[in-house]
Amino acid sequence: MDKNAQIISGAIEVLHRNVDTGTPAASLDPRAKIIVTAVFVTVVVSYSKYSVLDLLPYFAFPLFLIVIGSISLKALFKRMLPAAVFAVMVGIANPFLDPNQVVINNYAFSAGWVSFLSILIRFSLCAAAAFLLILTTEMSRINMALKYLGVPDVFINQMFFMERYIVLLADEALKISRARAARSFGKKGYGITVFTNIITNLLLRTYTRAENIFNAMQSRGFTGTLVRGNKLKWKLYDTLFLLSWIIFFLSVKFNLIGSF
Amino acid sequence: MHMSDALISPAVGGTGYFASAAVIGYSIYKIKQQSDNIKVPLMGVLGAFVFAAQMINFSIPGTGSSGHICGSLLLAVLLGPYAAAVVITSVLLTQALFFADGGLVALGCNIINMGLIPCFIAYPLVYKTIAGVNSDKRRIWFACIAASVIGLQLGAGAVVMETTFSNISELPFSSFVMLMLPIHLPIGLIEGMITASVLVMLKQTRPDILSETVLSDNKTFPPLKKVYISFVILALITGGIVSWFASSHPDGLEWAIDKTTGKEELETENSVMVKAAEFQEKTAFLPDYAFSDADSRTSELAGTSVSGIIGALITLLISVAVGIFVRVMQGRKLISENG
Repeated sequence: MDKNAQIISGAIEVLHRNVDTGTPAASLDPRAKIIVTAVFVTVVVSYSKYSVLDLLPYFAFPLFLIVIGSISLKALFKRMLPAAVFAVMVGIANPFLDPNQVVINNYAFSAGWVSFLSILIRFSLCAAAAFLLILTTEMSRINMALKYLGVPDVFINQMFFMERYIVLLADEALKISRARAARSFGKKGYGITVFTNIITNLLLRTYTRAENIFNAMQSRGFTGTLVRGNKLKWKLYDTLFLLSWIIFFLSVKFNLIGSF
Repeated sequence: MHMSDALISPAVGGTGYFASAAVIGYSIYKIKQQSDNIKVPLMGVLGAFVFAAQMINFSIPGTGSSGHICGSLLLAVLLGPYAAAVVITSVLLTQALFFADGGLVALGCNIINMGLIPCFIAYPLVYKTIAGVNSDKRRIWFACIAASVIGLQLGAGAVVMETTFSNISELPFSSFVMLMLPIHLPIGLIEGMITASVLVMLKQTRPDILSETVLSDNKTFPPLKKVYISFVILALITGGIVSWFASSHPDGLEWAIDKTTGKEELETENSVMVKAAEFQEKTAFLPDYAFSDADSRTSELAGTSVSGIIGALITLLISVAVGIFVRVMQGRKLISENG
């Protein structure tokens, strides 16, 4: 298969995630998950650049979601690997540029390698938190939670439409890529000229699609606001989830657990 | 050039969030004021289009590698800056959630680098100023390339500043700048060329799409000749007058090195670098931007000015030569294709 087509089909696979709605993780209120995730990533990035051991307790949160969400570790790693490129590329300079030493538990380590390891841990924690949020929550429920949390309607509508059409257009991109591969030999056909032609074509088709959608919406009485059903219900279970994790993050951050 | 959560500090991330939230909030207010209902599905579908377009790769000439478009400038031209900024924000949020491209803490910074800079600096100040109303092919090309290069250079510069201020990566500011800006120069050029080609084709097939944004502005724009002339004058002013100040006050980086090491330039010990510097000294037409025999301050200043102007003219000549070469090659290709 064409390499580009392979990448696109991989991306479609990621977009097509099936959220298992029967798991305890999926039944949590999305507002609780969004707030806890936001606190989690903020606390994780607030550590100093040489923090390694201090960050390890935070793996408890993604592990908890993996267990209650029945998430396959393989699927999670498959998503995380391609995303690690930028963090690794910039972080790998640290061992060569930082000649200092840091002492951890009475052992001296190269500061550059420690900070690089810290970057990798931060990346793993933050990326895992984002992926687990999306793997345990349907996008429509995330949008609804954002609305409840005060995000304006214009942005919610935007996310709603994006979610609807993203897989459709990604599928078109896959077909285009396959068609180009079938008509190209060697490096011919992959240049900027052919790319520009196919992109313009895709754009024109997209524009026509948007006009058709708008006409269909108008004929059904669209006045600028989308009407949505299924309101969110906050339960005791959500309060427990929210409070216990925030207390845990803050306790680890301010070293409160050891002081008891 | 997505910023990652692993390389950002909460202070930088938080500042990015506040700044981008304020601008996106204002953009949403402006979109609501326009109360243009067709924009609701259009924005959503065009967001999905940018996502899909980014998946299709093209080969970059002479490198053997492939790239994809960013699409921010194209969206700004098609939807206007306010709607485009909201669409790019939604694309970046989706990328952060589904692909961990950029992080949740770094989202605000990524919105600034890849959304707000192209939509609120490159599009209104560069693209619109050059492209104007009922723009012809040449004007669109020039506007797109200038706006795209400037937008991407500013965006890449912002990534470097955010990373440096975060102080997680050990990459020094100077090395990171020298890595990021030159890489993003050809990327900006290619992005500009692709955006221009798409807009020219749209103008031919569906001019009504562009009429809603660019052509609806009834301002009069200067003829392209005047735009070219102003760019030449700007280059000469920069080369001729500003270089005086540049010569009397070292640039920010040299100043920083001077302050930290006590030397204006860092000494190079690496033998390859020494050889390269020797070669550069021998071949440099105007070493250190001054005449080599400049003894007095006056002749040094004159030398610096002339060097600046000559430098600007040489750059201009090289650009024109590259343009002519591309045109001739395109002509040959067309002749060979048409038999």
